[in-house]
Parts: sequence; C-alpha cells; structure tokens
Amino acid sequence: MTPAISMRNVGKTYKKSGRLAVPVLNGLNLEVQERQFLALMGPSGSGKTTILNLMGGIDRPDSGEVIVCGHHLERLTSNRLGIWRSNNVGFVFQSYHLLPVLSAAANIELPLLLTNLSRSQRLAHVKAALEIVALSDRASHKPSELSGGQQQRVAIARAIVTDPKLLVCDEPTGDLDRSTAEEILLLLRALNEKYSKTIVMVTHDQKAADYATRQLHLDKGELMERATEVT
Amino acid sequence: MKYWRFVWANLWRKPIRTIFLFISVVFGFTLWGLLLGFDANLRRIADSANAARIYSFPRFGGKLVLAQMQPISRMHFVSKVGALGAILGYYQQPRNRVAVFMQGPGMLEVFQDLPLTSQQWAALANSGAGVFVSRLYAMRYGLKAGSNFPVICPDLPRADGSDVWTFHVLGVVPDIPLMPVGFATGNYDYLDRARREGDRGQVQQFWVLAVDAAHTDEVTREIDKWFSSSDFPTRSVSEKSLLASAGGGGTDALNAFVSLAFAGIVMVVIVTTNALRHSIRERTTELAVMKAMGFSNYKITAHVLAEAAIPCLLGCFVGLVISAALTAMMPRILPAAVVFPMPTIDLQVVGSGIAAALLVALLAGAWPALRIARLDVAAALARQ
Repeated sequence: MTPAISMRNVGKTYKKSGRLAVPVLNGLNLEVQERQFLALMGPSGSGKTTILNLMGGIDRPDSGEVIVCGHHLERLTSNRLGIWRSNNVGFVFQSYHLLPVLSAAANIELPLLLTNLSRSQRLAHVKAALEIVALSDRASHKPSELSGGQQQRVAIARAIVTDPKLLVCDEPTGDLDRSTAEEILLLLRALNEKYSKTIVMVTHDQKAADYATRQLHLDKGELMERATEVT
Repeated sequence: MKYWRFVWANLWRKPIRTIFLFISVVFGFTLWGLLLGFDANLRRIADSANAARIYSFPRFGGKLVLAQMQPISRMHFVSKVGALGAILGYYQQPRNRVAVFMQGPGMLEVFQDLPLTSQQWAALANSGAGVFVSRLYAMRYGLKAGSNFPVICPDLPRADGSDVWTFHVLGVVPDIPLMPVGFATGNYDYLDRARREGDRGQVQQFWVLAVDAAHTDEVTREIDKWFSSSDFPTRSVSEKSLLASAGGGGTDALNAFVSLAFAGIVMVVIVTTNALRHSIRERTTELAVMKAMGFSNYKITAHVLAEAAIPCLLGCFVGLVISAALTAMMPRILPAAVVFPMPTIDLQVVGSGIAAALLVALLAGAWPALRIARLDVAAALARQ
C-alpha cells in the first residue's frame, strides 16, 4: 500500500537571530498511510509543528525527502508548492485564523476562489461543507458572532471545502473547553472514517490523541509509536 | 471579480481609517483637478492667440488718439487696424471690477473672434448705450438681455459730470479664451459722444492685423518708431508674445500650480502607504493563512494593490467631480475682484488624475506587497 506521507531522513535546523543554529529534526523517518488519523505528541519544542509544516508544504527540509500524495515537496518551486497545497491539503489551526471581516460562508469559500468553479458551484460546495460541520444556520455570521467551537468548525469546513486528501491540524482543540473539544475531535474522526481523509494532528492532550487511529510521540528528534486506545 | 467582495470587506476592516484615507484622497484630487484645471486654462488661452495680431498701447501710461489710425494703416505689412476704447470701473461696489470694451472703427475686421453675429454688431452700432455681456459677466452680476448695467468710473467722467455709465444689456454671448474673466462690449461712438469734450477722440488701444504672422515683429517696431517722437508714443506687442509673457508672468504661477498639485499627490501617497502598511501589519497571520491555502504571491500582491487602488480611484473620481463642481460655482462664489482665469476640467485633467491615482496605488502598495511576498508562512503562523 502506498503511504500518503513519506518523510525520509529529514533534517531541519532553525537559525535564531541569524547566528545560533537550533537543530530540530535530524534524519527523521516517518510514513503515514492513506486514511490514517495520526496524533503527533511531544513536549514543546520537540519539532511536532515542524513535521506538520513540512507535511503541509509550508516549510522545506534542509535535507531528506518529503513525499506527500505522490509529490516530492522539496523539489517543488514556491508557486508549484502553493498550487499543490491548494489541491491536496487543508489546514486547521489552534487559533482558527478565520478572516474577521468575512462571514462564515465567505471564509469557507476563500480556498475555492483559487479554483475555476463558478459562483453557484462554489456556493454549493460551501453549503455542503457547512452541512458536514453542522453549521448551515450560521452561514452569514461573522467569526466574532460565533463561539470558539463554532469558529473551529468553520475552520474545518474551510479546510475540507476543496476536498483535499490530507488534513493537517495543529492543536485544533487547544483553545476549546473539554466538551467542545470532544465535538471537534468527533468531527475529525468522522472526516477520517466517513470521508476517508488522512489526518495528521499535533496535540499536547492525551485525551485528544486517543481519538486518533495511530499515536506517535516525538522526543529529542526520536519518534516512538504508542499503542492506541480508541475512545 | 470574484475577489471583489473580499477586497471590499478588507477595506472596511477599520472604517474610520478607510474614511480618513478616502477623505485625504478626495482632498488631494480636488486640489489636483483645480490646479491642473488652472494650468489647462492658461495653456488654452496661450494657444488661442492670433499670431498676426498686434496691440498698441500708450507708452508711459499716456494716451492715444483716433487720428493715429491713419499712419498705422498705411504702414508696410499692415492689413487692418481697429481702435478700442475702454471703460474701466466697477459695478455696485469697488470690488466688482468691470471692463467695458468699446468697439471703435475697424474692430469688426480685426476682432473677428469676438463672438458677435453681424446682426449683433449692427445692433451695437445703432443702440448707443447698448452692450453685449459674456456669460461669465452675466452669471457674476445677474445680467440678462434687457438689464441695466451701471458702471461707475471715477477716472472717466461723462459730459454731464456724472461718473456713472449706465448701459443697457442687448444680449448675452459666449465667453472666449482671450478674455478668460469675461467681458462686456459696447460702442465706441457712444463713449466718445458721451464723455467730456476734452477727452473726445482718445482711444485705449489700437489692434493691428499684420499681413501674416512672420511680419508682426517688423510691424510692431515700425509703429513704435513712427510715434516715438510724437505726443502720443506707443508700445506695441504681438498678441502671441503678450499672452506668452502674461503666461510667462504666469509661468511661475503655472509652475506653482503644478508643483502644488504634485505636493497634494505626494501627501496622498504618504497617507495611503501609511494606511496600507498598518492594515497589512495587522493581518500578517491572515495573509500567512492565505498563502498556506495556496494563494500565490502574485494573487496576494494583486489584492494589496487593489486595496490601494480602490480608495485612490474612487477618491480621484469624487475629487475630480468636486473640482468640476467648484469650477462651475467659482464665478458665482468668488469676489469679482478675483480676475484670474477659472480652471477648466478637461479630458487631459481627468486622464492625468486617473493615471496619478493608479501611480499612487502602485507606490503605496509596492512596499507592503513586497513584505507579503517575502513573508515566511511557517514563521508567521508560529508567532501566533
């Protein structure tokens, strides 16, 4: 079976203040199968978000290969990488990052502006995404008029509206209370099971990680597999 | 067009900032319209000059007499000569300065650009105190055909001792570029008959037509030479050089107008750049998210430039409309003592305004767009 994500011998070093080099990843190897729901855990600064950024094509490795959905991301130009992201990845962030001036529906429509779809087709996609996240009645609301959980649902709808194969989620429940977090995690699980999305989620929360089908713990650049207890 | 709603929504993220920006742009382009409108009108006046026409004035502020017409008309390369009288006074209040040009012998041929029909020339010749006024005069002083138009002229008393010259308006005629502040024109014979006996036979100017433009310098020299040792010495100048020097005296003013207009635009660039810079800085994370979604640098740059161009183009449009409205209102609202030519908002002024608005948007948007293009998405998202 072809893995959805394959990271081979990946190295990444950050330069702080232009001088001090901080190695974060060194010879990392990781494979994520299609339709897997992977939870990536580890202490702060261990490189979880770096792995997520590399998989999502918003950062580049210093060495090694990152192959996602059949593409060598390290070989793509910035423009090609942008096109690739728009077709293959949906991002969900801890702080939602919705555009406050746009309604929920307009936020969800944003990635569709990069496609050749007509306005009516775009609206049909937005409607479908809103139905999946159960927010059809909030389409015209601005983010400031929505609760944290609802905003994260809108962010998830925005991530899935182009029907990408891969969802990368950086602490998607970090800003939410327990019951709202559970709703979001159930939604992510449904996207994984019902809509066959490959999901990679970074989290500090073991209870959140328990919703995933696979858990990895990252510490000092080493990845360790953890047994999964499905919640 | 699909990005229009998005760009428009971003413009209204901080309404007060956008309104302030818009007002600044409107102010800048109102100034642009008015100042370049003045510039356009001064150029139009200079372009309207008759290259073969010469004016002869009294040298040293003295006087000229009608009898000087004969020797001028006999000079080499002179085609036609006309004599012009003038009543320089005021209407109702001293600040309402007016000039009534009294058309003397020969002026019909020499001043064919005066917009009077042959019937109106005949009416002028037969009416005595009748005058035609231009639209600017009519608008400024509320005159129409049939109005009385009393002009007070203490320097030119009538034969009966009065200094009030009461004219009867025969009609309203179009304005001409040569007389940008408007005019009234009457009959020299009436002036000559009505003034004191000792003043009769005097004229204000001679208008001379050379056979062609190439001989105007020769004719001006000959006229001045002929009368240099007479009781009525002249100072002659071609219309083209007079308007060029008036425009030359005005060239400084012209340059000042253009410089001021550009200063206004520089102000607009600074205000727009500042507003855009703040707007982009506040939205760094949002723009990083857009780049993460796949928006290219080109698309995001286009967004930023559109956000600069919309207030600039709308402000330019409103500013030019206001300057055109002010131009139309100026003759009514400015005191009559203000005798400089009114601005003209022509296609050139409008075109240059639109070009300036686009340039402002480009200049104001360039730096923020460059910053966004260089934005490291991962780093920008990590900062949150």
